[in-house]
Amino acid sequence: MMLKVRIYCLLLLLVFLPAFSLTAAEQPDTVGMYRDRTDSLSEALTISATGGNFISKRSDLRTEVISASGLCKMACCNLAESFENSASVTVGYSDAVTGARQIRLLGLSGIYTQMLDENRPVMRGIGAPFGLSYIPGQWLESIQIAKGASSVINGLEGITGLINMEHRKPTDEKPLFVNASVMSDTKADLNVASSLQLNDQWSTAILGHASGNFYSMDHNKDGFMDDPLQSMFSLSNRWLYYAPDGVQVRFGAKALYHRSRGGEMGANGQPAYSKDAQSLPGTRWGTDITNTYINGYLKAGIPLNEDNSQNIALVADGTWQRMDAWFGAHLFAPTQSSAFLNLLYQNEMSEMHHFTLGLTGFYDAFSQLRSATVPFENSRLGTAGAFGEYTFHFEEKFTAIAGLHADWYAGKGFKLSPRLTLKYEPVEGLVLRANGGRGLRYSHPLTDHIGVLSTAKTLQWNFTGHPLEDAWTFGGNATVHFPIAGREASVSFDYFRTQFTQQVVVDYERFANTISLYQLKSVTDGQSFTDSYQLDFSCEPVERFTVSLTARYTNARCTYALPGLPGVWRGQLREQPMVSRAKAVLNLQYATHLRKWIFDFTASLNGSARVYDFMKDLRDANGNLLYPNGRTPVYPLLYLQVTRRFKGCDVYLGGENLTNFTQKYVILGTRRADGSVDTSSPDFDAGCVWGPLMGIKVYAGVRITLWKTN
Amino acid sequence: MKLLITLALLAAFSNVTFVTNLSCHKCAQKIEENVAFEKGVKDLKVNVKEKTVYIQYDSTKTDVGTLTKAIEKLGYQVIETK
Repeated sequence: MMLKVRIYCLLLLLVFLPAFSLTAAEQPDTVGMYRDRTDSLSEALTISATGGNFISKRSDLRTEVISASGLCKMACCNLAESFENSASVTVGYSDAVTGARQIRLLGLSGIYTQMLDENRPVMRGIGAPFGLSYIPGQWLESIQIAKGASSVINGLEGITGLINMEHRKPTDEKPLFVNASVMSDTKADLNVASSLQLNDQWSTAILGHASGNFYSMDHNKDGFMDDPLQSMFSLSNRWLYYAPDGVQVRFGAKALYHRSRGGEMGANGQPAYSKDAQSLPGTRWGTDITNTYINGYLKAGIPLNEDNSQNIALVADGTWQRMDAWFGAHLFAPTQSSAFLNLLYQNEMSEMHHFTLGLTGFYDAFSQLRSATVPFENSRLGTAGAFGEYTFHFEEKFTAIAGLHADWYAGKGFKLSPRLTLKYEPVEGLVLRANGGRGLRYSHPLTDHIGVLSTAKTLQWNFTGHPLEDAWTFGGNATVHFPIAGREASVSFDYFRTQFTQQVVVDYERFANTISLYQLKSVTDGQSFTDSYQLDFSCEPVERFTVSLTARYTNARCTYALPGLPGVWRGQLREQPMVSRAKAVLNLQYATHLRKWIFDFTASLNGSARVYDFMKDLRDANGNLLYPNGRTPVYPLLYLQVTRRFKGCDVYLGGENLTNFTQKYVILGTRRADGSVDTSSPDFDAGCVWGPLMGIKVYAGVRITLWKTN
Repeated sequence: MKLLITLALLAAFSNVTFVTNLSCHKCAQKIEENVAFEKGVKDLKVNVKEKTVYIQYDSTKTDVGTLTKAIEKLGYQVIETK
């Protein structure tokens, strides 16, 4: 059946694309580019104040760019919220209590997407569960979302794709930027940025952030806080040295502190528990999580000849992070020390032939406080390898990039990973892309699935350490650019498939009140794959009025409970639970003359997902089944924002989730006589989240920019 | 009456194109976000490829000299005025 659908889509493409291409016309690319850049050293990225989200025309991979303007369309307090108007990336909560956010790309968890900070890997290991909340949206200049197997230069951890963040640059002529916003749920954000050019060689950017959620509410009267109380402080300093001979050195440091308290509600919007009393009988259940993060990095690019056609680049990164987390009576307190090194030699032999050779390595050391009660193995993970990538360009029409990564994985042996990218522009305005390749990553059974700790269920797994997860992703994209009313419009269709050959499966359904983690060690153990289809359309029918419409369909399936092992499903290939099959997003923006007023409207329709088997019989207070067909309801979300711009100052007012749709009965478990959930019961589970936890939120904010002048 | 007022206002609008040394989209953004809010500016188009800044302005409120200074204050040279 799915094969038929794929063939049908391919035929549609073949029939319609030539028709579109006849009307396609070349338009100047006035928006972001992310081309010929391997380590953010070339400063090739440019932005537009008028672009929002768009598909990069020049990128070899299918790359969606969220520009600075796109990051101002919503509150976008942090990176997770920046994806709310993207159909490529779906954002959800890991559970209903901690505030940890997770994304999905190509229908798979964000753990299979490589997160890059200007092409340095970030949010790895214990940094993954809360990392998306640790990047303030207003620190960013743009975000690139590349689907599929990307360049081997970035490593192999990006199985479904990569998300690269570009921060405000030291070379920005903005000595002061201040953003302050407040939400109706008492969340407040303050961001300060300063880019200073000290002389022709040296420039620096200082980025500061403070935020908090000071008062919590319980709108759905389930006894639990809707949103955890939080406080976060982070500071980053980035430097650029640009020598007259072309040598570039970038280095910087970042420190972060974050505390989050969620769980059962007490009086005055405060928690009903104390972490020091968690183990006492009758104590209310809650989470108290403190994260500390310190990072430093160095990047250097050295031209080897005058025209910079040969150069070497070094990227070094070191991170120390600690999580000190109480989940009920359980203490989870891991520490991670990481190092990353990438050394590259690039040679542009001619217009047609380029190649890159490199050496790379990761090192991660994990340990946990002795007093911790959640099982977590002290371990050291490492990879060391070499890679090569050859690029063939034929004029502007055809590009082929072939890459090979050869790595030694500590405890896992030697792995060889090829990747191939093709881009073809048969006529102006029509771009065809295809790519495929292998991705590998060490799994982190607990931190990859932090929601399993927000339950009273028994955790069981049949492996030790950090098994490798191994997958192949291949797919393609066709984009047509054509004029409507004299302005550029585009239609894009893409299809990607990720097929796992080794995966750690988290199974909530195998046994009652038990979460089982086990390995699919090969495709003969069972299939695990996702197929993802997406259609994008964008145009500007009237000057300063932009329309973008995106629809995505995902088919995610996995084999649960291996054959020969006890369990209900005994090796059946089933739809992955809690993964929404479809999503559509409509974004409208209208700006008045000189963009003094900007109106942004975003509507999304979120498709249904299969619920866990133990949720099928859940009933509401009136005895009605919550999920009568075993699936979540389809629900809409609406966002609206109005921005008034003055010289050097933007004031904005907006609303989120204007349909006020929320997931009901989020906290599962046996109920006490008063209707509250008994958190000591073995079926207590706060991790079954598929929809919004908060209703309507209204926010207001201000952005003040001081520009450098003579 | 309204038509007469509109025509009178349009008659007061003038156009000028500055050829500058701007070189990137960030330069364009800087000019757009500052010059657009100068008194009397009614329309503004920055072309990075041609390095030009087109301004429609109300000649009763500003003039070419004032607009030239506004661009130069941002750190760009006005090479030619058309």
